[in-house]
Amino acid sequence: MIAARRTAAALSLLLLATPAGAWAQSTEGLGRPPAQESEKKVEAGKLSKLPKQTKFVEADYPPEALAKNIEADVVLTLDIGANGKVTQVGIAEPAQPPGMGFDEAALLAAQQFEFEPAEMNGKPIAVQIGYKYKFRLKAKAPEAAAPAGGEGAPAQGAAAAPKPVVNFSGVLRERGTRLPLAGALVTVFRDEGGATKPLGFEATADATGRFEFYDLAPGDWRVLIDPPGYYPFRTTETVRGGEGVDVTYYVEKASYNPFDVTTTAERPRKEVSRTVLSAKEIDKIPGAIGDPLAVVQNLTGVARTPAFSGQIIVRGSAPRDTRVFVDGGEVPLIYHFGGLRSVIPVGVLESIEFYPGNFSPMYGRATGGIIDVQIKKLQPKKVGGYADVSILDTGVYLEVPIGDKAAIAVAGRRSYLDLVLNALVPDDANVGLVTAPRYYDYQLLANYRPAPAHDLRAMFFGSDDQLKLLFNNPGAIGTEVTSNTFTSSTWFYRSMLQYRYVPSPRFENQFRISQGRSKTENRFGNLAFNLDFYTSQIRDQVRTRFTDSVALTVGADVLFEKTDYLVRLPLPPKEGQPMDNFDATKALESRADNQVWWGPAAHAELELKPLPNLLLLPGVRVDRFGRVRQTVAQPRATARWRLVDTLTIKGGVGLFAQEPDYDETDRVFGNPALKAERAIHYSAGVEYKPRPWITLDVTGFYKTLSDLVSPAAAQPITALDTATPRYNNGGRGRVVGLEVLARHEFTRRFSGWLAYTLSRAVRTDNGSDEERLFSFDQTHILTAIGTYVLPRNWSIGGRFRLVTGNPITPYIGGTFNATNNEYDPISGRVNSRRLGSFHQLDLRLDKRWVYRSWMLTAYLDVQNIYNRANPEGLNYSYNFRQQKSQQGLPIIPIIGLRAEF
Amino acid sequence: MLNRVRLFGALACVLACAGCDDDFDPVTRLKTLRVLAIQSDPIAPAPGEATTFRPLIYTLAAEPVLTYAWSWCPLPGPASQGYPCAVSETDLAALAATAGAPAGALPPYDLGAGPTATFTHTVPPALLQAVCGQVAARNGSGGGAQCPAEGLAVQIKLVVTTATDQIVTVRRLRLRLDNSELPNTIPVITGLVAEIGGAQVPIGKDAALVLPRAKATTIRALVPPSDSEPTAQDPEDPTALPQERLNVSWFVESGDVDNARTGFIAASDDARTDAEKFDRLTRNKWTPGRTRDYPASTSRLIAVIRDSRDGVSWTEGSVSLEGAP
Repeated sequence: MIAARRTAAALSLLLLATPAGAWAQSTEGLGRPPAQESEKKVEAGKLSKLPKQTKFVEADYPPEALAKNIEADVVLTLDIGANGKVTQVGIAEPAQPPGMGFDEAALLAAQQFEFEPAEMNGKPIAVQIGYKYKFRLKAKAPEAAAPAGGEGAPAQGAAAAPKPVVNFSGVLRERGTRLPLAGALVTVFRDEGGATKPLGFEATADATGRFEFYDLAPGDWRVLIDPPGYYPFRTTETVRGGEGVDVTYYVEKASYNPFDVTTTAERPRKEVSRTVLSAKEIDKIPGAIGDPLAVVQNLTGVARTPAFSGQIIVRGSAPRDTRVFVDGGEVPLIYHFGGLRSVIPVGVLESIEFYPGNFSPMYGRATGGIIDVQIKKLQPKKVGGYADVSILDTGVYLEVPIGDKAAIAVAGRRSYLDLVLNALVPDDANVGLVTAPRYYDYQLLANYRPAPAHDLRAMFFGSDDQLKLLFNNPGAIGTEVTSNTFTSSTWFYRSMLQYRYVPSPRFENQFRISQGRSKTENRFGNLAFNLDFYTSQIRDQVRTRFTDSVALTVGADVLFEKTDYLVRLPLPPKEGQPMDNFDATKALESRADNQVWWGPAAHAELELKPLPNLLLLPGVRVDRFGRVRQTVAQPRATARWRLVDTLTIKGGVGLFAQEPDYDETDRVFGNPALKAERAIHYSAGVEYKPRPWITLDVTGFYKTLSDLVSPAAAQPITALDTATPRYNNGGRGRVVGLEVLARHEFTRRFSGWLAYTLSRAVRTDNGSDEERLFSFDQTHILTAIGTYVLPRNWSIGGRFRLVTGNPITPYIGGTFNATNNEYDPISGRVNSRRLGSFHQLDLRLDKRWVYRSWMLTAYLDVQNIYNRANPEGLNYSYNFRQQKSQQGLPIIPIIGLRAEF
Repeated sequence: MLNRVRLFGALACVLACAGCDDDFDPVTRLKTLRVLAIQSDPIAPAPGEATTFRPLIYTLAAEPVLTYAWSWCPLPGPASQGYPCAVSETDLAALAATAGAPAGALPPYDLGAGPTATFTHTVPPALLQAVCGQVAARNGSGGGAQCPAEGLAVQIKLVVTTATDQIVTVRRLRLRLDNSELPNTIPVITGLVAEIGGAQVPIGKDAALVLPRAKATTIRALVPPSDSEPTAQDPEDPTALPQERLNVSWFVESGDVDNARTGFIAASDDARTDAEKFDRLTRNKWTPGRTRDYPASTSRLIAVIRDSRDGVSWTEGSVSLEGAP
């Protein structure tokens, strides 16, 4: 679905950008095939060939319009099958005026068109293109038109001049973006001796938007530019004898909707479940404030977590079981302050790819899901950028083309929570802000493509978070507090280099190397969490296509980590364990210098097509987990079978493994003898695509979890038994569920999806057979999202969520601890209660103002618009004898501004 | 381990929300049976020394305490299970035997059912060291680690019962290894005052002072600076000065106080002087309740002071409350 839509968008753009074939046939000028030269634009991951029209059928001119001398344009969408036949015709922009019969006539004619099909990597594929059918009265056709940048055929029907002179020229640009309006038609005309003798000429803008007219007679000329999808541009120019007129016109687009600029085709689907969200989609989804990772929570298989928690729960797996990658490289820190906001702004993203399970052997070290953040592929045609002001921060972005083959972009963002909080917190408050929460991040991107077969990309990005609190009254915090201050400093950087070599459709090599450092220092009296973490990763992946039905991808993935750390904290509670009062006196300490871990891995995946529409992908990944000194081979397989063009069945099974958390294998905090955790994913489903822009995906999944790290049950009652480790691999679990996704890609005005997940996730601890609910088990998760583009650059969107409440472990009383003057809660059975359901509606309104060379966008994002008091937990009285529901965030209006140029 | 960053983040949020209001009665308001403190005198008994436990209990006159049950445990279990004793007397006796302690040397877990209790420190130092070693091994510090200078912390438990209620209270008791360290002295509050018109007016037990209802009055606990005694430097916290930390917990029968607890930490990590920090320890604001919420004409005020080495004491006063509102 996504692939087809993007292909269509790509093709539309290319067609529009190609003067010769950009505009569909008119009644008087037929048959120039579209975009022949675009066949040269063979690039990896893009169409290798555009569709080429081989049969044109002229539409009947509507009699009524003919009688009234009315001309019109109809913009069509043509679905062209892999055989070149037109399978479906739709009207993207109806004729004006309506009701004359133009639309019907154009539809009838277009159904009989034929094309040479588009191709992807040499294989014919179905695409959707935009096609403008122009109804023109022959009697009113211009007498002559100067070809754009052409050789100067003289106008006005005069005798041929030996040296035609350009005396009216200019450049067409899109208002706001300043992009050239290639292929747009410029008409100049004036009355010559009365209305009965109009005189006019046409020129077509070239790829740079430039147009020229030759030897226009002196005097006033009216100018009309009316490309489809744009507001008509009208003006008058005066041509004087012996002088040339050179102008720049900025033509306003009818709708600067966020979805119409996607330019690359998506790679064919191989996985059982993969959802791709483009940056433009992410930016407009209500409730997410443009935060890329927050958007993932709206997809099937993903549980709802409280705002700013930074947790991503995929198909009943713990948050740490899901890995976040940036262009295939692992990134340990992806949020500011652990969950406040993603460290990579949406402006530098191309898309987010989300795999809830059964992912490729390319990905590893995870038993839950995968989020791969795709960084923007720079292809700027001009110097451009934006400044974005939101309630949390302000970001800027600038991209610059360097010749035709290279480009760079820089971006930065800084929060101003510190300024706001400093103004709000009174001087005599118990907690003072020495350094209020402050973060910034930065990104540097570079692309270099010396030849179509070579693609070199570099990225450098990082972030810095600072916080320092002063406790004016430390007693308000606790009697065990040993300091008046809490300081937290976290920063990281990553440098990534990627080289992609695609000499032919049969061979591709992708090499990635990344290096980075993450450092966090947190101190609160005698408590400390200091970590200095060096990470390097090298990946290489080779794909070879032996025949049309056999291809092999092999790769190596080597991860290196070096760590210095000092941790002095109480033992952290694990999933399913009750959260006791924070007791600083029970801190454990662990420290190490230059601790080194290696994580080499190799993976291979075979692509087999035993039948034309059947794709089998057996593969294996072998990971060496250095920390637990274990090698795990993980066989995986997926299959996709396209029964008919609109229906695909799919399935997968595979083993996935990951190392325990760092503290769990620590000699002080955990058990160095632990082994890797494992999961087996099973999934099967069906994809139905009744229209190119509509997808219905139903997937069932089952997951078994084994060797889960589990607190040793004996620990609390045999305190003298030091032989019993703190943790063992005795945990198990299983997750079963069904996911339904109905997605409507952006067509004319609407995009959105309806996602529903039914699931149940249970765990057993420490080898026991007694099952309990997983802490984020949510039986029903329903998310509906829609965005509708209104006229005059308005758009409105909404998100509604209805989710079963989380299981919770209740407190059933308390013990008064006279040492520190606190009540310590006594826990009931683990996850034996469940919170009430969550439902919330968020709305978002966007408005864009288009100026000559820049645009301003403002948005209002209102979260929880009907102010639902959603339960997020339980609040207890001081002695834990009374309780009430803890409410989530109330209605919150958020405004933001973005200026683009 | 990076998840620990989130833990600190969550901690920061908790700290930022400290004092956030809710609909429950505040911990400072005395309405039903409460155990507010248990004093141990001396604070940390040396070998052979006896210590007496004295509880501070608030109860309504109509609901007197019916029973007391005192016990001790060398290794308490998790708080989430109500601090069950994690080692039985039999196991402890066996461990004591392996440490060379004579049979019967250990005090029984049951410390009696009186309003106060006495614990005689007869635990052999060898057994203390053995237990410390076990705990240290469990915490990854290696077997055979020595007990800290302040001794082994054991737990004292008190169960108080009235006709309709029961409160379980625990506190820490440090069993010193020997007599070499100077014992901690119990901190004291020498009095309570209210600041009225720029003057400090004593709050005695006779309810002579009249305070307005529904209006904040600054109150102070008179704490001598010497309550914060010198201590050993904390090697794990270089910002902490070698001086005891102090906390005052405030309780009232009527209305609310601004801070349930005020604290003092002598530390080099902020620009305030120790005098400024100490002032914050002793100062609070009390807003007695309106007549409709608290009809009685007098209200008790109790302040409990704790130092960071388990020293605790308290004082109380009473005020008369104006009529309406």
